Amino acid sequence: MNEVKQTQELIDKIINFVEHTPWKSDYKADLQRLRDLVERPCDLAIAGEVKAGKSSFLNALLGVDLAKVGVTETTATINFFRYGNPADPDKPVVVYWNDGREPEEQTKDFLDSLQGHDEEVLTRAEKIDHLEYLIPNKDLKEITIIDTPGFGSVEETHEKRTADFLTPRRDALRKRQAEQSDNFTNSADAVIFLTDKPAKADTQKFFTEYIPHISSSNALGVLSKIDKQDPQEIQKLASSLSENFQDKLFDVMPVSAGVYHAINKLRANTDLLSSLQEKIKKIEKKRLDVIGEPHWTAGEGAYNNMFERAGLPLSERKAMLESVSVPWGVFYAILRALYNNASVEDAIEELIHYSGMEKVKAVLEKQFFSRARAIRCGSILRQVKDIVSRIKLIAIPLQRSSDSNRKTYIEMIEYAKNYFGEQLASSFKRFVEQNIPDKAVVDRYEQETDSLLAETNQLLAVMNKSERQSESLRLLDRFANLFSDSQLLEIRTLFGQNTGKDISEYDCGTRYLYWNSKLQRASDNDYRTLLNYVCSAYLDLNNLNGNK
Amino acid sequence: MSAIGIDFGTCFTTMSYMDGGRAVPIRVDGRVKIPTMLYFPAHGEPLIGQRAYAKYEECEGEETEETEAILSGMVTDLKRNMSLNGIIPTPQGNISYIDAVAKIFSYLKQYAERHVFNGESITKVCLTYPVAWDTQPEKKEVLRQAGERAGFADIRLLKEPVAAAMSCQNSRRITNRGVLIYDFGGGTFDLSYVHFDNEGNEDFSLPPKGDPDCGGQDIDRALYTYWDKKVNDQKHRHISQNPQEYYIPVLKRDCVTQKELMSQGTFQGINLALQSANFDTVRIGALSENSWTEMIEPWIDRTINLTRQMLAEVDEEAKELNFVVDEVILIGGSSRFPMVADKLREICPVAPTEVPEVDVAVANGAALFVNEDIAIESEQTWFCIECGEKVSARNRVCMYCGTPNFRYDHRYDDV
Repeated sequence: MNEVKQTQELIDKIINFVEHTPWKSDYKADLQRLRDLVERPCDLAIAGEVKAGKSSFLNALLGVDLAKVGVTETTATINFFRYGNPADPDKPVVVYWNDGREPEEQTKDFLDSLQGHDEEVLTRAEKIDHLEYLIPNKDLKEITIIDTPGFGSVEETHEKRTADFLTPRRDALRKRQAEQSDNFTNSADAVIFLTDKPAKADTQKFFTEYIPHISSSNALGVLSKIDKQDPQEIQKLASSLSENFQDKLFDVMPVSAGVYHAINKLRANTDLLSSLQEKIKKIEKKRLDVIGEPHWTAGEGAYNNMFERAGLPLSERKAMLESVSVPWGVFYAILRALYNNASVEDAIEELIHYSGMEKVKAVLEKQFFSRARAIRCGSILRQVKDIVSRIKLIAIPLQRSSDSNRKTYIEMIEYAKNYFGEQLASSFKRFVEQNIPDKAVVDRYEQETDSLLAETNQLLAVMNKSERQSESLRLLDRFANLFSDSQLLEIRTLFGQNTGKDISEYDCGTRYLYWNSKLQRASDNDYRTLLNYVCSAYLDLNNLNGNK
Repeated sequence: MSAIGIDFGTCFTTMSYMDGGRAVPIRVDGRVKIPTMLYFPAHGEPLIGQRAYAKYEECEGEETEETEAILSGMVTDLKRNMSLNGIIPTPQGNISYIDAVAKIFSYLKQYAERHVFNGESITKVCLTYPVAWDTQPEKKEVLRQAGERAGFADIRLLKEPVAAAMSCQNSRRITNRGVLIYDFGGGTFDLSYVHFDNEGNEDFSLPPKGDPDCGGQDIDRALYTYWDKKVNDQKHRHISQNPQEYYIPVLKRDCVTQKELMSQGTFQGINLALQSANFDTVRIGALSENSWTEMIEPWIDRTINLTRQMLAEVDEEAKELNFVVDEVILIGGSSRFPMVADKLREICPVAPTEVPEVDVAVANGAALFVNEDIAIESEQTWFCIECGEKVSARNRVCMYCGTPNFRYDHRYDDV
């Protein structure tokens, strides 16, 4: 965030400066183009199996009910979500066609016509490149979400179908979309792989098969629908998967999109929640531990009596469940949280933490997007530096040489005054004075250019550091086998990964000397680059510490 | 009033002074090139220059700890990394870049005072810097402060390509010329274009180009890799005990020597001492010229591509002002490869001027520049004792009758 703002401010400063110089026309357009590039939102690609909970995940991420907005989970297209408001609320989707036709707004009915597997649907889907939704959610100003179609076609989850004459076309369509998806996951600033399988073997299969070997610096694994399973089991599964797929995934995180979404909808309704909390606390713990949906909605029997004694008659219970309109697992998680906590606020906090969405958002922002933005800003800044260097090294010296003519021009005008008349001569003299800056003005230009250059260099140094970090992590994956476990831990900590250790536990000076001696002996070029980054990182830290 | 010029380079530093009317390099312990490095042992005075470089020889033991201890005390890459407030860790604690560079300058100053100026104190110095530092003024400031800390009272800064051009022309003023300077050194490649007007002022220059990771050291590494493979074929092991590492003495001594020999056209075999091999050596046959060419060509091509781009830019940007490339100057030890001059001849509008003192051209120029009160002796000519025709200091023999020239200046030995 900071880098984007700083880069924008710097470019604005430079544009302001150039505006008042004779070189405005040479450089202003380029500078403005670069400035616009800075604000481009990051790309987040979401990939997962069909029915793995992608829509609930997107709902939770964006805080909207996409179905209400008009988004339907079509099986056959890639969906983009950008910030904006659809011009016509009845036409919530923009269709981008394959053949380069103008994109056009379409209605919900059109989307419905893309559901299903018959030939008509197939023909329509073949012509579409992707669909775009404009959602007025502020988070989308910073990111564009790319929702790729589910891995594994619906056919595979249903009974085996016999192949028919449509299969080649379906295969071709699937292949094209798979390629498109691959391109997105390779070029996106972050990718989330979503799976809801509770069994370790199945999730391992998913991660192994469906994730191409992309670097761990932009891919995240997410286990969804955890409200259906035991929290401890899920945590164990997540940790072991995270370790196994260290080279492909930054981390594996369990998530309950349902809980997150529900709690965000409910948290405003404190009255409902406090009264529910009060009543639920009257129930014995061992009873609460075993209730399921049938118990909650039972019209009679021991459980019904228990609830009625607590002040929750059937009608109220049913109404509550319906109004919240979430699956039982989510509702039950809310009940337990209310039971186990002293206040509604504490319960909400526990639920948010349990849902894991905040953690995912934090990882996306801190690890992926900020790095991607830094890399982009770095490349933009380099181009900006080139422009400012040109002003200093070419434009200003040229201006100086022409300024020596300025005096001569004015002399010439004075000389010719008698022939051309006072008025013409004065206006021409004014023209020369205004358009050919004299030495003092050019000196000022040079000073300003110098200071802008210094600022650019400083900002670039910060950007280079970020780029170094992400490049190092990539290289570290490749050469992991050359390092001992403790060395790997040290380097990962150095480059900001969440290892549980803090970099202040290492003495920068001593570590620099150690790695520097390794660097001087390293023979492989990339290995040397990696060690160079390690040494530079320690040098920077040492500088920071030394200058405190 | 004695003054010297110092060329502070990435891998090597050189210094020159004015002897009579001409700029002459100062040899430290017999060498013109002083490695830009310091060695800090665990305790005691740091070693500077060649004495630090000599510690590489001691990295031949079986014990990795010894090698690690020596290597961790080496401070190199000063020019690349230096900054005003930056500090470098050493086994003796942190030292600022300014202090590290000042130590080197101080060492050079004291040596020159003792062995060249008979104890007279040197107060004036010209330090050269790359054109790129015009847009990184902090680095120039580090250079200046290091000079002050070393004890120089009067410090001038001069751009490297300008110094090189001055040395080439043997003049303090270059007029009406557009010069392209191709500087292929030990660690980096730098390319600049500067134009001088008829009063000797720089009136135009293009943003410099270069490759910070392309230099003689890369060719040393390529040669090591080639030998490593040969050793593996013969003895089924690598030169070093650890295949991921270099065996330092071979890299820093043998590779450098062989590279220099081959670039002068001498191809011979070598007996390589392998690490921990009980004094066994492996005989590696001489490289064929083809293999050598193949090895160095990729690196030289990198420089040639940048040169091509620069020439195109000169055409584009300088055209309206009628500035062209009047002269192409080659400096830096690695520009000695005959391939460099050959390839440049193909793409440059004028044939490159091969300066005999490629290693010290910049320092010579700096010395010329700073010793303003000493008149420059223009190239003298004498007459052959046999036939009476004019003969210059550059010729070993008279061009007309072949009699040896007793006025031959041995500075031109390298050409």
